[in-house]
Amino acid sequence: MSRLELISPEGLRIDGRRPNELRKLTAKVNVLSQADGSAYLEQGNTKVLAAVYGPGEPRQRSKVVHDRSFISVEFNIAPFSAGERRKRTKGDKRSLELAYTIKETFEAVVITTQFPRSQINIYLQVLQADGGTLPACINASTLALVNAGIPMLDYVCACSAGSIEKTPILDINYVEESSDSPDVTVAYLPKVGKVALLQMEARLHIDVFEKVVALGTDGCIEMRSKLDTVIRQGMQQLVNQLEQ
Amino acid sequence: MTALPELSFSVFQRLQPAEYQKRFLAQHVRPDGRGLDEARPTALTMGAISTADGSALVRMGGTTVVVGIKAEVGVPPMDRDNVGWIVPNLELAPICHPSARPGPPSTFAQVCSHRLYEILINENAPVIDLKDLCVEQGKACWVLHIDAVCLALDGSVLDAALLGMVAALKNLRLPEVIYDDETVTVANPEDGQEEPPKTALNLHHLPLSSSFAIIPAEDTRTSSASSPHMLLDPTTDEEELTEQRLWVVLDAKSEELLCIQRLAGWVEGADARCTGTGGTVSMDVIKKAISQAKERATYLQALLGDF
Repeated sequence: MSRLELISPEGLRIDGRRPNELRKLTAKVNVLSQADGSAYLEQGNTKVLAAVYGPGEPRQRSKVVHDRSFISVEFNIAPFSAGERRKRTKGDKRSLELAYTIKETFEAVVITTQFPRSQINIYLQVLQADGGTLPACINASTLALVNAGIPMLDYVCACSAGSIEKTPILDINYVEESSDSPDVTVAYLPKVGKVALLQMEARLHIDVFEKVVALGTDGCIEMRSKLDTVIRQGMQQLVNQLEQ
Repeated sequence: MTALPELSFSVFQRLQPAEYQKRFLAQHVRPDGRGLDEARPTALTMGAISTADGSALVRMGGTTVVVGIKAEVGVPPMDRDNVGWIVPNLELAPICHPSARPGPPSTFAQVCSHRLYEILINENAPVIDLKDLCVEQGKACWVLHIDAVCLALDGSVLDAALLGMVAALKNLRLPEVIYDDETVTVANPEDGQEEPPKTALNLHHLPLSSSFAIIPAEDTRTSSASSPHMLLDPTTDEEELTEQRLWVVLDAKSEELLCIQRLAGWVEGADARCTGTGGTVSMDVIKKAISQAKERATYLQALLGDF
């Protein structure tokens, strides 16, 4: 059986992108009426919905932190989101880990000391998964947090990057993710110039790693301008509504 | 003594939700501008989820439900070897409403899932014939996992979920399967080849539902009970006002009544209020509800398109 050709001789990837090209991103804020902040984000075929409730009264007294707010993240993946139906959608270790990673990422960036003794809830719902679920969730959470008016140091922009036959590739899709090539997720604060999250669970040569991370960071910087456009559009819409 | 600051209407709404609603109802209008027998704008999109075998997205005002069907090959039940399974499930994740809590599904979500199941496979008017799901008698059959995920909850979630499930079943296309001595292979498109044909299911009946919140009208001047207000397609705020709610399901194909239920209150945190008997619903109210539900079913059927 021949191996799936992930990069064609012309240097194009399986979905026709160049190695350093992001997938098409469409996003919208203010999509849910009940939440304090919300965002819907499509990155290629990955579709994610994020809602932020809070800051509000903590649900469990024991979790109260006296000098700042704490963030809780709930990650939920729809049973029909992937090729195979997922049997257990909640509480499996993988989604718990993902939720925890997102929580850790945002606790460092959200200015939590502004809201002592409160709780911020981030709820994530994956509707369709086609690789890069974690970066899509982080980007959607950023949009929802900004939409909720919660102060942050900067936009947290996330992007995945990988390496196929020593070519660094940006924003990997499901087929590339499920091949045995290594992948790295970077969450970056472009204005501050700091990395909020770096995750890799594969073997990768240190020289290649640097290139992959550099590419991922570039992707994050590009992502920032895209997310910023979405926020500004959402704001403009609100202004238009007020003027009417 | 300082004068109390003037109450703005939003403050009044928060402090006295019941009184706020009653003042609107006295004028036969609802806070969102609808008449009492008016439903919210409803939008339906089919095939929005490409990873599912059949899908639908329903928006009824502020209530949004996504339904996706995943078809798997399984083993038929022991007692009837020529039928398949359907497994409907309604998920009320915490994303949908501030009162929804993380954790295992709430009683309300489980009750809803069961109600939907009973409607879909109603003995007298099933939407699909379970025999259509048989692949090989006693050996293999289709299992349809019908998952409805509620993204935003603002009342009448059963109506949205049922419409979504029916639409997703209409949108469902089952791949061809080859049964060959104990093994079942699902035909998959190979590289460069045309995709093998997929078949749609026959929908025999079209259950479509309407929810009503019934709020007793109090005439303070005469202190006599007049006929109660009937609110079609209530929002969460309106549902929370009363324990008296009706759920009417009609078959849009034969115009027959499939199910009528008096629902008890469910909103979490409002349990204390909902344990009471909640009074009775008169026959006039039920008749009126059925005629309004008929109109609504005709409207919803038009959204589903031709059959």
